[in-house]
Amino acid sequence: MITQIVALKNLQRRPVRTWCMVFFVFMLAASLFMSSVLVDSMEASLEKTVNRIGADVIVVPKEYESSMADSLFMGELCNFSFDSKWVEDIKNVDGIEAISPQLYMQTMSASCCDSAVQLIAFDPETDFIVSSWLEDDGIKMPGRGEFIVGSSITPGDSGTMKFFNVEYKVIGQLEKTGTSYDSCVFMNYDTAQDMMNGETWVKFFGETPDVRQMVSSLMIRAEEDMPITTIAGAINFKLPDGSPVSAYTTNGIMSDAMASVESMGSYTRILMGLISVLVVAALLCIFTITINERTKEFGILASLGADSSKLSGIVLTEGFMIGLAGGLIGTAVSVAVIMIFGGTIVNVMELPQLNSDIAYMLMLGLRCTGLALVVSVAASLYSAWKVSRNNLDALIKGEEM
Amino acid sequence: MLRTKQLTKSFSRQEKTFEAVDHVDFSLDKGEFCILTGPSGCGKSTFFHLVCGITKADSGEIFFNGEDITNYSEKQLTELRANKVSYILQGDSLLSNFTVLENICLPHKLCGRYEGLEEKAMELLREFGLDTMAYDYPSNLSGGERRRVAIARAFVHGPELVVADEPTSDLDEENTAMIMDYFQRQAAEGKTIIISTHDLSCIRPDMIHYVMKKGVITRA
Repeated sequence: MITQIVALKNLQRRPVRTWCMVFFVFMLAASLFMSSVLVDSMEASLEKTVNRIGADVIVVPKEYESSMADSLFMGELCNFSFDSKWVEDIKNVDGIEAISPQLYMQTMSASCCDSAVQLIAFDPETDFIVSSWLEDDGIKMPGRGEFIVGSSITPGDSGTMKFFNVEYKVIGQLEKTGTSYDSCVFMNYDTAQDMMNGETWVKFFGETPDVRQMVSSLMIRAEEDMPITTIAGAINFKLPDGSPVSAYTTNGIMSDAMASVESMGSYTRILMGLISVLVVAALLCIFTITINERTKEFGILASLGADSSKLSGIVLTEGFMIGLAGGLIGTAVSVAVIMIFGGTIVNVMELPQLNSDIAYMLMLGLRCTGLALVVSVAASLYSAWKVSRNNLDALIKGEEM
Repeated sequence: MLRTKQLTKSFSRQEKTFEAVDHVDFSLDKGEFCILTGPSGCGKSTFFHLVCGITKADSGEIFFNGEDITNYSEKQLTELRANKVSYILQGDSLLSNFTVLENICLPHKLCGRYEGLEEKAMELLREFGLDTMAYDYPSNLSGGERRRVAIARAFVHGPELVVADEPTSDLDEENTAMIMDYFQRQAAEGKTIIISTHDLSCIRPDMIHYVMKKGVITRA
């Protein structure tokens, strides 16, 4: 305990040096924490999205697969579609257990709409995706003129939402999933048709299409034990040359996003490694310089009977305390930033979500503080070794170690 | 109590070897107060470092309480300094990050000694007229006050031998007298004390006076 008291007093009485060293460790812990939250959030969101989709194969218009991925992963608004006649060619492919169309529409940032959101129309008769979410969350299937909204959507006080100058009743809100679906509005095809028949829609888009003839994505679930790549391949083989659609496995459609997240994770790990090395080097320099200035102090202690293990223990304890302070402050500040500015970070960095789960942040905080401790103690090891190895005569004379 | 036999320590300077301590035979009994004078660079500090186990001798022997400590291990020498031999360094030897009371107690606590330490330290501070400064930092103390704190630290754990390297250098007459009085009282109570100084006015009739010149110690 006395070693800790001596180390603590040494740090307290040299505040500038101490805070400089704590700052380096703080930077390491904070950057590790923030970058881990970003990468983990992206990876978790991607995984959740793939799991949430619930389809094995997705058919979308050719060259729109990246728009589809961006919409699924990043929540970007989209409104592409293809003619529903292609559904007939696809649904007879062997190995398909269920098939259901979805139609994507986007509302506008204008007075006619409450907000610009992604609308997803589905067919309750064939749907196997949205209906399963509704069942899990205990929400009834939406009827004509009714909406189900994601967890991030806030309906008006009257429980309605206005799109294209028409009020729609919100009959349920889905649980938070941490995916882009949290910011989507779901309806059936009849509601979508009514919306397109409305005056404001016609005024904006000049026509009233038949929603039954439009499909944005055809969601397909494979029969059990049926390889999904085989089904995607069979669909593409069956479609005639020049068809405007193409089938992708769910993982395939998300592959670019997966690769981006993976490379982001790799870059982050390399960056963290470099920052760790830099922090070790900076702390090593400060420790070495200050220990050289403190040789007489150690000489005095040794002349009074303190053994070398006690002297090196003081240096290591100082390193430990600096690491602990830097790690804890870095973690605390990062948590505060995420809690306070999480929404802003998501918007500015265009992230699908930011993981602010307390248990996750606690574990990550422990990891970051642990690394900060390791780095700081490692940086003090050399000085501790020098102090313990130096001869007492040189220490008393204040000679450079 | 302390005896050296043909104790020798040499150093190299500008490719020349010289004996800082040259075949020194020296002895001091329990309760004796010895003063070692000599010009700067004559080897006084080196001799003190040798008898305190801070520096290893090239040849010769050192006996403490009849036991040969010449070839003691580092651990044994550390224990000797922690318990039996106290060394007061030349110049300012207080730890600037610690209060007066901490300066006296913490080094000994580091050696595992706690019992009655703070009470004894306060007693010594009162004796030196420094009790009101117990919680001050060394930067608030004068040179004489700091020297007295260093002496209190050397005596607080009751060592058998106290070795002080120029404890009165740069001090005025009043502070010098106060310190010499304290040493004399301690010697009278059975402590063995050896100090070095340039100030011949420190010498008192009941002290044993040795002179050191070019590494050789002779009785004055």
